[in-house]
Amino acid sequence: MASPTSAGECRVTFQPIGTRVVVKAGTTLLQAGRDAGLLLSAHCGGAGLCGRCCVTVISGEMEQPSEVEQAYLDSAEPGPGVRLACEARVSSPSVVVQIPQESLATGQRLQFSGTGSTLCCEPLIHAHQLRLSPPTLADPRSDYRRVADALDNVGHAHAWTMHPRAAAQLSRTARVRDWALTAYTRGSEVIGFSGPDRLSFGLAVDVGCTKIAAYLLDLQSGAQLAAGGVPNPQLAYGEDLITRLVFAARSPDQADLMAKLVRGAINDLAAKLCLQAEAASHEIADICIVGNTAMVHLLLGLPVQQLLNAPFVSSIDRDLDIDATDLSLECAPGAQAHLLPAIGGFVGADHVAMILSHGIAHSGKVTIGIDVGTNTEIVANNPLTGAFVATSVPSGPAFEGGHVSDGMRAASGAIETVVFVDGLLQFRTIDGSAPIGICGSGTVDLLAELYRLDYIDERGHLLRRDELVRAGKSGLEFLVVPAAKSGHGRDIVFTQHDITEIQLAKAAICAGIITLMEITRTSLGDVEEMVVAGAFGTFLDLGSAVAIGLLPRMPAAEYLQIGNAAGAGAKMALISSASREQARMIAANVTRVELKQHESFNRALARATRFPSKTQMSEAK
Amino acid sequence: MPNLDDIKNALAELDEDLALKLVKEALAAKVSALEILTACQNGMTEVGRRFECQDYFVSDLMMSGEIFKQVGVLLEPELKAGGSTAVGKIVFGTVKGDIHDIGKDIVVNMLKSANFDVIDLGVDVPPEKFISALKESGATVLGMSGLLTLAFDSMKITVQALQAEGLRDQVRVMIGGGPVDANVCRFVGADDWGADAQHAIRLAKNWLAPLSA
Repeated sequence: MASPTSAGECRVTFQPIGTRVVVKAGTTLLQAGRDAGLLLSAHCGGAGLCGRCCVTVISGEMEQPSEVEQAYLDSAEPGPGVRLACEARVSSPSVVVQIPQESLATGQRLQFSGTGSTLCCEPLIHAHQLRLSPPTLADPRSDYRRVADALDNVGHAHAWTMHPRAAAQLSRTARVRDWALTAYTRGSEVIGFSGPDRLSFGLAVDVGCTKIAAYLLDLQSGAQLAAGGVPNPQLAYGEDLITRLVFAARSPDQADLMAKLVRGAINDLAAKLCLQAEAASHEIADICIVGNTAMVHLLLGLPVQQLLNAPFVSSIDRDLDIDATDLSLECAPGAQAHLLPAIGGFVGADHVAMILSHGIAHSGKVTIGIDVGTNTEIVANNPLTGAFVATSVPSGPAFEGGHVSDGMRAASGAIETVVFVDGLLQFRTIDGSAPIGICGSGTVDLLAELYRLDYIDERGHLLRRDELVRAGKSGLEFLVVPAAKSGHGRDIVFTQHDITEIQLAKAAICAGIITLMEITRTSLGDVEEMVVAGAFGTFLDLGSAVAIGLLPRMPAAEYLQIGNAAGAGAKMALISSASREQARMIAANVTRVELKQHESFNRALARATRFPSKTQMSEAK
Repeated sequence: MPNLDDIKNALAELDEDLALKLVKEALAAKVSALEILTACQNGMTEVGRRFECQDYFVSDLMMSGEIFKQVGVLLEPELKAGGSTAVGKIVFGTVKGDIHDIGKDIVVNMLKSANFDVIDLGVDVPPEKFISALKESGATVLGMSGLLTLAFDSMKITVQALQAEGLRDQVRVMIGGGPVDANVCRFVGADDWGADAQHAIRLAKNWLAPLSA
């Protein structure tokens, strides 16, 4: 039986998930969702502009739509009861809201496994087995002294230090465990304790814009014991980095919130991994974190205003060793979090991690590597000319479904591959569910197929080839899935505007690659490896990518998809000080390129919007 | 001898190789740079028209801008020698804190193709730079572009600087960029705003060449 709400309060129930939350009257549905732990999409950061947070009010009273919301409702004409969650405010004591799947930022397929090089383990942490005799009147040594002497006795003659937090843990743990302990040390510092015969665990974290991936490793052997991912909870406050940075820049409280969200997510993820590996969080003795520049600034609570204006400067970009408790992370009391260095600007620690994990600096091969996201990082290493450069190019949210009318993230029901067979469009959706939209890899396939079958010309213009191309709300559109076959009862279309969005995104990436090649004096035939990292890169069909000109055709190159290379790099650095040193070398040696300083970039960009000639294409597939 | 109409069509069809080839041939055949420029400008006008009726899209505008830029490089030596026939001078730039330039470049190229003398200050332009360019060139139109919401403050500060320098009454100000709208225009204190390059051309024509508009 539901408890009654007091005056001025409202109970909001979210279906189909069934979560309930009580909020003050006048609260927006978006905020109520956040309070209930539900991440509704908010591409525009909750400004009432993008329409992504649409929900249906099933019952209960809401305030009248605001001007902004009414403007949206008038132009979009959604069905009855549909409101914008970011604008609609509750008024009656009880409201029931239906959230369509496509408005949720959760329930996504999260890719977190990476191929990575063989992990080389040189632990920075040691785990010592101690069997101590308890204090007596004759032997009233402090708990610290007892441990230090024991460590000295087994041949570790250091001046052992111990943080008071670790001492507190020692005093409690020792008496519960009858003085049989595992002691964790880093250098000459004793950083934590656990019961006897326990392993030392390490946590590697890749903080991405869309998802946070974490891995739990045995620090002595380097073996991976558990892995997992969660959507980044900051998504509810902005789909893209800029929106989140703007949010954080507005006030210290808001910056704090961004930091708390990501730290909380890391803790939640770590707790899950510990359960899987039968570890306790206080046994996490070392942590290694990578992320792009914006994510790291938000995690650390660093000022971000200077990142928002040209010339886009980081507060700090060197590698860091931070007391994990300063980041509110649950782990051994003296554990530290090591953050990899960044290359500069928006070419962040995650890109360094990718370069580290694939051994790009040492392979001796002419290599181009990309990590596709809202910003795509590109690295080019040409050992022949001695040039090693990297850059960040804004490819926009198009590959995550943003700005594409029926676009969506990789989640259940997203069309992920497309092919025309005998003139009929065949597709596969994630989880095999009824289609509700198209995700990034799906749009690339779709574009490749439309081009192959002459539904679009080499400029990306839709051609009225048959009845599948028809007039839409503003310009032509291609019917991908008719309403009868879709999961939400509406046609799924791919509009001329959508094509332009993907064209611009793929042109940015291709032009970035071409420009870096010019700068490193690399010709297309020189490239030996074309490496694609990241979640989008993993599910991308490389043939389609080359066919539409997202990747240039490189006749001698091996095209490789290496998964979450940033995560793999974080793991490497977690268990090896040599890897941390390598990461420092990479950050120092790679020259960051600002594409806007190169005139040839804009020219390459305009040209790259075109689709490559088809004679070349058939060779690429 | 290459047909000026062919040049116009090559540009309108966004055939870069053909356009440049024909322009080079025409120059070699001693066709006046001014006539070639006019043919190219007509081609750009056609591109603009196709964009307005949704035959061409942003990617096409970008391409047309690039071709026109290249043609400009070929024609520049002769044009400079011959003196300017421009309808009027416009100072243009993306404001301080913002480095988005694709939209700005499209507008600048379109304005040039409509025979305006455009002084393009590039990106991340502080108010002082706009002001000294206006003073130096004697231009009476200022165009500011910005894609970040933060750009609005830069635009407003620039307009205030114009006021402080006593230039505000002599200079017409137009602004543009993704999030720019009537409210932003009021906030910034600009005279008008445009959603795209065609709009910018109409404003420029109204302000600088009302008789030929």
